[in-house]
This record gives sequence, structure tokens and C-alpha cells, in this order.
Amino acid sequence: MIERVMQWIGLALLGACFVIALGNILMARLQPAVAGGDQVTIRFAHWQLEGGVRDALDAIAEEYMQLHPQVQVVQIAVPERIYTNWLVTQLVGGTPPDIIQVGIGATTERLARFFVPLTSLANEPNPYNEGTDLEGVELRNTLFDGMQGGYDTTLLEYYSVPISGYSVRMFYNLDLLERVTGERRIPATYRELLAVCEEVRRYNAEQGTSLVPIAGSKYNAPWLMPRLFGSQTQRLNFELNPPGDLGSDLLVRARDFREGRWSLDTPEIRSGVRLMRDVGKHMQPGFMQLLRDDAALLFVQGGALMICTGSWDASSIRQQAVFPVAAGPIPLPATNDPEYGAFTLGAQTEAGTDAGVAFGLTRDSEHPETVKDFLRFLVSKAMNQLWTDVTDWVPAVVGVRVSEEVEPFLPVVEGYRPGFVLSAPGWADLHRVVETNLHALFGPFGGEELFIEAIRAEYPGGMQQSIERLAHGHRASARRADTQFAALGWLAQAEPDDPARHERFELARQAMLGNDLREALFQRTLRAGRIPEQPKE
Amino acid sequence: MEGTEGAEARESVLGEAISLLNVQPRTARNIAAATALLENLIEENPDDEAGIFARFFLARLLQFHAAEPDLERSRAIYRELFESGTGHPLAEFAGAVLVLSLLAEAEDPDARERIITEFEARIPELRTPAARRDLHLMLAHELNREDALPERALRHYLAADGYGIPRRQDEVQVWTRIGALAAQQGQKELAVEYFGKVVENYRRHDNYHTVLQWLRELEGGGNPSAGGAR
Repeated sequence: MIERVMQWIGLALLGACFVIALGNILMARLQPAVAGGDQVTIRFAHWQLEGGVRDALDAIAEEYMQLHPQVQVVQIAVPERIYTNWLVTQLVGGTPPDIIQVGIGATTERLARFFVPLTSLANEPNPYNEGTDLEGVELRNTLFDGMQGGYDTTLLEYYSVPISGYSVRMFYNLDLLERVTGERRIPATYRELLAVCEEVRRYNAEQGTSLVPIAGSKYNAPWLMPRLFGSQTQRLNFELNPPGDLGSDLLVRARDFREGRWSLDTPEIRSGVRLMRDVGKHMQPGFMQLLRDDAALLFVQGGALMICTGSWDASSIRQQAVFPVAAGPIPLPATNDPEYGAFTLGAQTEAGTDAGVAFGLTRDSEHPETVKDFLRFLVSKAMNQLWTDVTDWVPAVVGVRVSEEVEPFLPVVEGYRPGFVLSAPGWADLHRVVETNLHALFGPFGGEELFIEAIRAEYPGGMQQSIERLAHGHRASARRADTQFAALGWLAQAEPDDPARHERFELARQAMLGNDLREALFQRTLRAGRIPEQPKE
Repeated sequence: MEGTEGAEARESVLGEAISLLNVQPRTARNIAAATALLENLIEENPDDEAGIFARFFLARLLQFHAAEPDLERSRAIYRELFESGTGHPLAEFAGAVLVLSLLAEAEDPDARERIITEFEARIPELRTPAARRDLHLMLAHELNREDALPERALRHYLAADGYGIPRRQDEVQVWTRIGALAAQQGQKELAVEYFGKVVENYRRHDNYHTVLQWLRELEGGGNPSAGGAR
């Protein structure tokens, strides 16, 4: 009998939920009609659930609605974990909001099919900057990165408007730092970082506490470890590169690996692995199994002295932590470091970082002109000021004032490019080989030798598979660009006196040659045969 | 009137063929249909605007879009276009595309050298500055990356830069390489000039700091300490 009643209660609850959901959907659909014939509703979606972001976007939307009472702006926050699925469902189903944050899941193909190019908007002055020092300046040039963060290099168009800068920093619990070290000064060098970590261990032993020096997780460690490793391959990268080539292209490095110009036993590689181990041992045991929230919780609850993460987490951390938080660049080995100085060039530059939190206009939008107007408003100097004031995130618009809290997150322009890394997420097969063996490096009995031997046999195969997969992807990308090239080429010849068309065709030519150069490199690498295993030196 | 209508019809067929290359999902049927349309256009008239585009894109199709690429035929079409001597921008552009396709499959250094020498000799024949620039640039990249022939690479980079590099991301790389190659060969004034251009124009580029250090070292009488030499 009780079981039957429970079943009915369950059904009733289910029914109630259904009715409420249906009501919400109907209300959302009817909203413009209820509000009147001239009322326009534009909806924008994003995945930034960090503290302050929704408040800032609501405040900007409110300002816009006051200026344009006939427009209603609705914000939709979608969790990052489901963002790609949500995005694809909305786009393919023909029900996307007017504005969508571009990044996760927004491939070049999806941009081309479902989004509106914003190149003309980028090339025109932003009317909402009138009366400021940016009056009359093309919108793209009002952003610190020239709006590169919104540019698609395959489609040769701007597809989104970025509003924020970002950087990766080490965050410190200042109260804990003082309690452990006796001062509130954050480490400036790698040696000072290590000293603080050792101080935490000493403090634990004396006080019977179990504080963790650096909160780690499979989300946070990948922000830190490549920087550490990359510090040890800076000089090697220069030596392997042709003259004047400062990049660290994994495809070129793969060819060098095949040709025996570096190996897993090269001193720089060993040094990079050792450095990761030396820092990783100051994170909590098994940190590579933990999630982003686990590390964040440990830090904001005062269980860890440091955490390495992006500027985007600063507002959340400050909101949740009951202690003062400081942030600073990741302390990397200096050139005079007794153990790790020989292979590094020193500080790593962040000059090439593009702006992010970029919003695109969907093709299904019924109000594209209103949306464009809102995007201009969103990225105006005044609203970007509001954005940084509320979120404590780095502004994207030049000349926006930043608070003391934001200053540590401004990109560091000085410094050299980091060297190459053992693997990167885009090199899926190679990355799997490295990731699945990190326990041999960071585990309680792990170390440099164990890790290198764990990946030695699989590393060349992983590299080979990654190259094959990337070559396949590259061809697909090159094919897509061909259509664009044809259209721009035809338009340029049809209007020989139109400089804008010729300029765009010029860009398309360079993009095609860039693709073909890359293709030649892929072909040459693949034609050389499988990358052989390297015996231990 | 009939000529205009004919040209419009050919433009329409060309558009259809190009569109078929991008229809998703990609099918052998669509690629075959695009091939047939392009071949028809070429057969009707290989030398008008649509004919030249059709030839270029048939070569492209055979290189990148066909399930079984026919690189030999693709290269033959590129070569025919390149050697047509029409001065058409797309026909001359085919030279840069062709040289990369050939170099990708060169078996040994001698074969590569033959290809590079052949195309170096063809550059003065080209009528469009953009085609000259592109060919100089591709040869420079190849010589710098594969052969470590700094003097020859530098010559081609300088020639390409003389025409102007269209994309900023390419320009900063070319200028950095010119500076490094010049420094390596002891051409200090040239190195200072190009490193100076990078520093002046690319404050927000991640090459900036390195190039600034090199510039200071050069101006101080030394040589760049990192990079610039293999």
C-alpha cells in the first residue's frame, strides 16, 4: 500500500515538474509578444560561471536596456561540462540564442555554418566609444590584441568579439603564508617557491597540521607543468630551430626526434621532467585524479597555501576565501639557478596572448542588427570598464583602468618564448602516452627514471599516430579553406579596382600557402616512415 | 550579349563545382560531379577567366579533395598554368603551390636542389609582383628550414620583403628571420635594421623581447646569444 502511495507521489512530482518546465518554455516564447509588438528580446549564452561574471553581464545588459527600452537582453549561463553538447544541439536544432560565447565546441566548420562574420563590425569605429579617446578608432584596434581572439584564420573573417584578457598565475593564501614563513611576501623565484614549500612541510611537522603547499588537480597541474618543462627546453628549442625561428612547433620537433636530434635522454628533457617532479611532490598525493573543484575547495578552505590557475578563477577564489589572496607569475628557474639555470633563457613572455570571452552572432538570430549593436555596446570602453570593475578580470579594451586586484594578471610582455613540451592536448595519442604514465613521475615511489622508462616504448608510436591524425585534420582544414579562396579570388578578379577585395584575396593566398607549407611538412614527415623506438642512451 | 550570358553561365558552373567540394558529408559522387564540371569548363575554354579558375581548382581537387589523390596530374595542371605565360594572377600563383607540392616529395637533396634551382630561374619571368613575392617566400622558407643555406635563404627573404608581406603574423616572422640570418652572416647593419623593425612595430608579439635582446647585443658589439644559428 505504502509502495503504491509512493509511486503516485513520484508520478505527481514528475507531472508537476513537467508542467513547470512547459510553463517556463511557453513564457520564454511568449515574452516578446506579451511585451508588445516593438519589443525585441536578444538572448546570449556563455559558460563563464565564475564569480562576478554573470553580475557584470547583467549590469551591462541593464545599462543597454536603459538606453534601448525596446530591447530586452536575457543571459543564459551554461555549465562548461555540457557546453559543447548544448551548443551543438542548439545550432543543429535551429534554436540557438542570438549570441553565443565562441570557443569550446565552436569549430571552424560550425562558425562557417552557424555564425555571422563580424568583419565589417570589426573594421568600423565603435559608436559607443564616442567622446572617449577611442572615438573614430576601428573597433578591432580598440582591443589590446587587435581582435585576434575573434579572428578565424581559416575563414579569414572575424567571427566573435572578445571582451577579456587572461593569464595564468600562482595564487597565495597570504594569512597562511605569514603563519608558515613569518612574512607575507610571495616567492619571486623558483628557489623561493621551493623554500616556501619546504617551510610548509616543516610547519606541518611542528604543528601536526596537514597543509598542502600547492593544491593540484588534473585541471590545475596542466597550467603549471608545461611552463616548468618549457623553461628547460628554451635553449634547446633555439638550437634545434632554423635561424630566426622562435616558435616551438611540435611537428618540427617530431621530425627532429626521428632524426635523433633530441631524445628522452637529452639532458634538457631529463631536466624538465625532474623539475616537474620537484614541484609535483609538493601537491597532494594523487592530485592527477582530482578535479578542478577539489583543488579550489582545498585552497579556499585554507588547506593549501598555493594554487596555480587562470585569472578567470580570481573572482571566485576571492569571493569564497575568508583570507586575503595574492597572485603572481609562476616562479620559474632563473638563469643563475644552480640546478635548472643552465637550460633556461629566463622569464616566459605572455605578449602573444589573445583576448578571450568572445561572443559571436548566430545566423538564426531574428535581430542581427540589434545584436551587432549590443556587441558594440558590450565591447565599448565604458562597458569594458564596468566588466573589469565587477569581475576583476583583465579588460580587453585598451586604456581601461585596472584595479590593484587586476594588476597582477596583466600579461607579462617581457620574456622569452617557452620551449617545447613532451606532449600537448592537441596531440591526442602522444598526450595519452604521457598522461597515463604521470603516476610514474608523481606517485610516492615515482621519479624521473621510472617515468622516462614508462613512456620510452610507447612515445614514438604515440608521436607517429598523432602526426597521422593531425595530418588528416590538416587536410580537412585545407579543403575547407579552398572554397573561401575560390570565392575571394573570383570576387577580386571581378572587381579589379576594389582594394578591399584584393586585400582579402591576398590574405587567402597567404593562408593557402601556409596550409600547403604545413602539408609539405606533414608529407615529408610521414614519408620518412614510422618513428623508431629509441634505445636508452 | 551572348558572350556575357555565356560568361555568366560558366561562372555559375564554376560556382557549383567549387560548392560541391565543400558539401557535407563529403562523398565520392560530389567530388566526381565537381571534377566533371571543371573538366567541361576547361574543355569549352581553358583560357578565359572561368577556364583558368577551373584548371587551378581541378589541380587542387586532384591534390587535396579526391579520395585517391592524383598528384602527378595535379602537378601537370599547375605546371601548365604556371608556364602559360599569360600573366594571370592565379596562373602565376600556381608556381608557389607547385613548388611546395614538388618539394614535399623530393627524394634526396639533389632532387630538392634541382627543383629550387628551376623555380629560382623562373621568378624573373613572372609578371605579377605577388607571384614573385610568394615564390621567393616559399623558397626562402624551404632553404631556411630544410637546407640551412643561410645566404640563399636570406636573399629570398629580402626579395620577398621588397614586395611587402601581406599578413602581419608572417611579416614579423620574416623580419625576425632576416635579422637572424643577417646576424649569422656578419651583416650587422642589416640585422640591426630588421631587428629594429620588429621592435618598433611588434611590441605585443612574443618575438619582441627576444629580438630586443638580440638587438641590444648587436648594438653592444656582440652576436645574438640564443638562436640565429643551428
